Amino acid sequence: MESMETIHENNRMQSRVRKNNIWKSIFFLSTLFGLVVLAVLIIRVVFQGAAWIDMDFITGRQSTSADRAGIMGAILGTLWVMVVVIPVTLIIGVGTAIYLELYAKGGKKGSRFSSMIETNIANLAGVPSIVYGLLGLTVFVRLVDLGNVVLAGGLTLALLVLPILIVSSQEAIRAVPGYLAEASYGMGATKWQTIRRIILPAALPSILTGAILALSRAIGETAPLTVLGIPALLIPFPEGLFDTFTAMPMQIYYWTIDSALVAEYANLAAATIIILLLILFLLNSVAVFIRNKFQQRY
Amino acid sequence: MATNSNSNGKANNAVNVSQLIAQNKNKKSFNNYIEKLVPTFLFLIASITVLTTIGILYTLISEAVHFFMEVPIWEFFTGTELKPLSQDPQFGILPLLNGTIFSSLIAILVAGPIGLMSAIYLSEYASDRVRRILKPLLEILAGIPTIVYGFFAFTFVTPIIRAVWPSVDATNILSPGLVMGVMIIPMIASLSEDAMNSVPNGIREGSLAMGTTKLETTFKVVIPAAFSGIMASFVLGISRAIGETMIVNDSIYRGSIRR
Repeated sequence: MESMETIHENNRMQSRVRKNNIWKSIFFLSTLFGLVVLAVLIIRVVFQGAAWIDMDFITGRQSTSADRAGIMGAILGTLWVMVVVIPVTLIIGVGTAIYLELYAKGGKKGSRFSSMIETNIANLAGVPSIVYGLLGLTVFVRLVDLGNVVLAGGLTLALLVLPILIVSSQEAIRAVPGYLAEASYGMGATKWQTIRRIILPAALPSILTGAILALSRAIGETAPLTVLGIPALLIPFPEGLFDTFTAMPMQIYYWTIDSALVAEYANLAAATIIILLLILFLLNSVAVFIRNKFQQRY
Repeated sequence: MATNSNSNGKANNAVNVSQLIAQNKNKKSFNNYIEKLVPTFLFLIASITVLTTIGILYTLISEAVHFFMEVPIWEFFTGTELKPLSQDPQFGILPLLNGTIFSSLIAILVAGPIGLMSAIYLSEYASDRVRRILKPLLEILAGIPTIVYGFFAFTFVTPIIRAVWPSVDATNILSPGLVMGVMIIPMIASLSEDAMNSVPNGIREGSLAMGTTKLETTFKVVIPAAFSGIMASFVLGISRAIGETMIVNDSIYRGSIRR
């Protein structure tokens, strides 16, 4: 009888272990699912678009004829937008992070204010990007009367990615050990001197990493630009902050929706996607490089 | 200033610390000025985020008020047709609401189970080395611009769906929903994984010591303990899907051109 029971128990245990192993492979496969889709997406885009990429495509002007179309205007537009986004987000993002982490913490009133701002930032991070487009349209394009120029687009995108940079800068500043600042105070440095010469340099690699990630989000964003009414075809290359522009995601968008009319446009869109993904990949590699090379562990 | 220089003259042999400090303070008046100015300046910068929120609220409310002056609220919420550009414009929100709810539902049906199972694998089963390879790869998915997903949705997913199921329309809601689901997988996976990681190891080991398999520990101990975090990740995923524009925009718009 006893041996029967042991056999029974053994069988039960075996089936439980088997169930565990089966589920383990199911879990593993579902982890792979996302990666497989990623691979399919990239392979598909590369196959469709790679043949269309050549020097003429990259340096060419926009054109309604698929054979002669180029994306230099879109690339320049994206670069000009970056010229606006980088300084604006860096100054506002890092400034806000410094204020929240180093100035607002003291005192009851200050901490209430800073927790209010922090809640506000968390909420802003959850606002859909198209709503930022509406904000940009009302405030920058109409109220300030800029029109749909580089500056308006850049400021809109800067506001959109600001929460990302603020949060990562806050974390970077928090990660700087307190004894560094205290040593600086001990030498007689003032608060601002300590921040400028000790805390910011120590936090800089992490801040830059966050800034690059925020920037790559801004480069790929399309929805706010469609609301601003950014055109895609046949406009001259932008040469300054007050020129109308188009950006790479917009170009992809218009070529994609127009591919119902001209089939080759889908290939052009794929080619533009390859260029865009390459730029994003480069930016992210730089971010990883900075993080690994310059980040000090205290 | 005057008293300071006087007392300086009197006691120039003995070192008076408080005097040195006072002297120093006067010397650094420029620095002092900056010290006072910086917090105010940073405060103004920090207020920009608040201004952004106010700007968004102002934009939405003022435009909505304009809109409701033209279109009665009742018609907006109960109208079943949306034809803003026709001769007799109709502004029913229901078709939009319907589409949003359906596509988000499809997205969460895809991303919920797959994201949760990925999280289980990464947090409970995967070795450290495997996790360090898989996680960044999964995060690439989250970094791909939404317009690329939109492109993928109708140049790849829609044709496949229509090949399998010819009666489906070009403007179907299924394909953007599916692709949106893929897009929010990494978000749900990494947030759920964080929730599961924060379950103390002692509980896990206690369960394993009772002779359970990893699967039983996961489903009966870890997931119940991390339940609130997992639900939060689902809610965040859904809210991301609801707010997503470009994927849906692309396939619907293209469909309407074709017709």
